[in-house]
Amino acid sequence: MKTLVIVSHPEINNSQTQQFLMQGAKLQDVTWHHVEELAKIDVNEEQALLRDNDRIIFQFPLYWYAAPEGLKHWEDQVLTRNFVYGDGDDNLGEKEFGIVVSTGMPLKEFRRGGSENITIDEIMAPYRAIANRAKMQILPTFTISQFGYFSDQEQMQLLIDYQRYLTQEYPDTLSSRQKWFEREFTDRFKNFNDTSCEDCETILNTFIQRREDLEQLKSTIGLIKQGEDE
Amino acid sequence: MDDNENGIWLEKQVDELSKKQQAYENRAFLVAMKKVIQEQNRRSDQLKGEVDGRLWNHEQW
Repeated sequence: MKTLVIVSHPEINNSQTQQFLMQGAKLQDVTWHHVEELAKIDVNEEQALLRDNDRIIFQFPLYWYAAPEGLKHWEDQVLTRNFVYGDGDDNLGEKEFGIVVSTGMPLKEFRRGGSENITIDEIMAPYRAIANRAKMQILPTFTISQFGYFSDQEQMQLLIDYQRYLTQEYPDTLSSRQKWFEREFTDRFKNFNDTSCEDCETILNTFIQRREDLEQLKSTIGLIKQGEDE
Repeated sequence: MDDNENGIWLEKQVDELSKKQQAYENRAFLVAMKKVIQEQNRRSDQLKGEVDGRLWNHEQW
């Protein structure tokens, strides 16, 4: 699966959050595409890039309940009516659409009764409407609130959660998480410090075994439930 | 080794491996993996409990 991260931030070099995420996005099959850096928007090139990827992510800081103008400009140029739905081809159909948004206010304020009194989902409605029109599968929005206040532990967790958001199979269930870690462990353990890592293979096999055991238990319960219905 | 011992062994191994890592991303990866292992262990206990509970359901006697 190939992922395209369309990033919009007018001062990306000064953004601690975006710099942190940029490091996280350095993954195989992930393309980081910063729209403000484009000297000129070549519509054909941008549309080809969209066609070439399976998961499309819009990533931006929340400015007055919307993305920075750079993203709107990009949308207006690239997402032509014909491309999105008009020509009868679902150029984006079957693809997945996600949003990574950072906020300066705590997440708890984005709800009814919170100081923002509006939810993140409500704010993201226009983007979802586009994705919906394009017949894309919509992923839950990934919100990062007040990154500056994150502890070291929280930052570490964010890095991996973000990487999973970009590359893990949807939906985010324990089963998908386990499979993601299996795949990534296989790729990454060559770079683990303990280069000999004699136990790495046993660790991986045990981890896989644990997933299979859980699947077995679930299937047993399924059979018992079936019996209860009869 | 019974099933739970496997899970506890795994959690310990991944925890130790994470502490040996100097690269930030490797450490972050293994710390996050440890959390998934804890989730596996918890889920395993719950599912086993559910199997027992359902097998001993008196209404089905």
